[in-house]
Amino acid sequence: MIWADRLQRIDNRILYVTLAVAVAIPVFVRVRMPIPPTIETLGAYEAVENVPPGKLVMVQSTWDAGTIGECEGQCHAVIEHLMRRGQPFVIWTSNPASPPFYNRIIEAAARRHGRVYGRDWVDFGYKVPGGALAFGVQSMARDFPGYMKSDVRGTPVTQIPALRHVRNATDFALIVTIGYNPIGEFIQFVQSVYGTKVVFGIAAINSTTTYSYIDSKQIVGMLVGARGGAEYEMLVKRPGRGVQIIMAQSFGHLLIIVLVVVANVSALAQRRLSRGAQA
Amino acid sequence: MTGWLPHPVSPFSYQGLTIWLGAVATLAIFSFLFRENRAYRFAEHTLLGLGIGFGVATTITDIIIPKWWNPLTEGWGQGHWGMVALALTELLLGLLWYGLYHRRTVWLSRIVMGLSIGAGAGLAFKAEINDKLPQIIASFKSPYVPAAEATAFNNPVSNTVFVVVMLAVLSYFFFSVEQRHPVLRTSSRIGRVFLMLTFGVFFSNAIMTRMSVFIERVWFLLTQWLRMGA
Repeated sequence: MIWADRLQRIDNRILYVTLAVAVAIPVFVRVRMPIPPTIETLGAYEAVENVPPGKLVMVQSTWDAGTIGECEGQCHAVIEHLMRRGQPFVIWTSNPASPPFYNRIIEAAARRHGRVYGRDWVDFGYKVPGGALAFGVQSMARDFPGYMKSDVRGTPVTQIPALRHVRNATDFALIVTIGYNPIGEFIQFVQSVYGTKVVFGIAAINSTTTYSYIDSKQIVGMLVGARGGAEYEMLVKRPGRGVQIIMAQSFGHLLIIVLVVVANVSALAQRRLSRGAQA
Repeated sequence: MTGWLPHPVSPFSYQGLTIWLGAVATLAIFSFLFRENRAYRFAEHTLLGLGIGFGVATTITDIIIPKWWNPLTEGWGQGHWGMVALALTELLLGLLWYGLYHRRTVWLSRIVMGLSIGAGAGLAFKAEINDKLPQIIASFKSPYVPAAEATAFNNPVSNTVFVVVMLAVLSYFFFSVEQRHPVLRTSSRIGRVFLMLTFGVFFSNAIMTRMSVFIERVWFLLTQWLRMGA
């Protein structure tokens, strides 16, 4: 009776500290676990792999400090893949807090692979407020230079070497969106109208209802939270934040499973013992 | 990661100071798990203030100035009166929203409200068709798929499961007649079980996301602030 009661009344704060200790284990002990890619991650990887040389890719990044854990690995892996292949890309955001985060990743990858701004990538920064994405994405898809006008350095689109021949969404081979939420506007107003392929990189919490887009071929791949980032990082053979998080997460999940089992066993034991006492 | 014992980064450099600020803010927010306290309140209000201030500033510098102010001033300077007229019309329509704040001028706000609702409804109609129609079409799946055409998402087992689950769940939401018929009742109950499974998936994905956010902060404190690790 006493042990079952005690287990049922563990202070929440003890559980929080235990969880913090569990997820910190990989900081102190090198852990290696297999991270096989799922179909949705493979779809995203192959979409980038199959972009014709020299053809433009659009990356839309909305993650920031609050979603580093879920999205940094995805952004790191996609940018690494694009930079390694020398695939020119443009990047922009609908979240003003996002540019410092994605720029840190881009600058590191550009240094590693000797890529040059203006030729290999172009940053447009904060271009469309989140609430006006439906209008912004349509205008951008219809007339890219007319809507974007100039990059973050003030250079007009027409004078940027990588974008000289860009007119509309058909000039992009692929659109990759990375952020907490899926940006449905790219499906509703770009993929369905111009046929440009779309890949989603999103938080796991939002992925459940997004799988149907893969089935209907509206998106060609999807990176689901830190797991998607870790899988992509392994595919491009450059483990980073995604792999770190997913290793720690395995310990956290193991602890949660143990706690769920312990809580249920103690609850059953408590019920049985109290019935016995009543009889 | 440079050692097993904590030896915090020096706060007397720009990078060190930002790490210290991040660490203090993280600990202040986490302190809520112990109990409600002033450090948490301070961090929460600071975060809100910073977020709103940053959002307003970047909206002015990155959206309003390049998309509205620059075309207005350039149009004025170069004598492109069409651009000027467009920018002034945008200003007028924007100002109409402020009619909401007075009883006598509230009718002005209804003009721009009507425009927004009309545009929003039109967009939503187009968006929903482009978004959902391909999914409805994709839901017509055949349980028979030739072996040569089978893929991970299109094979006899997956398609059969898909059709059964879809019909069961649809029957759960079929409220036009009372669900007394044994077939409809059974199908509806099975649909409810599938819905429960889906909610379980939602919940576990929510845990994964929350856990990722938590892990990133724990790792930040240990590896960047305290510089611990193997």
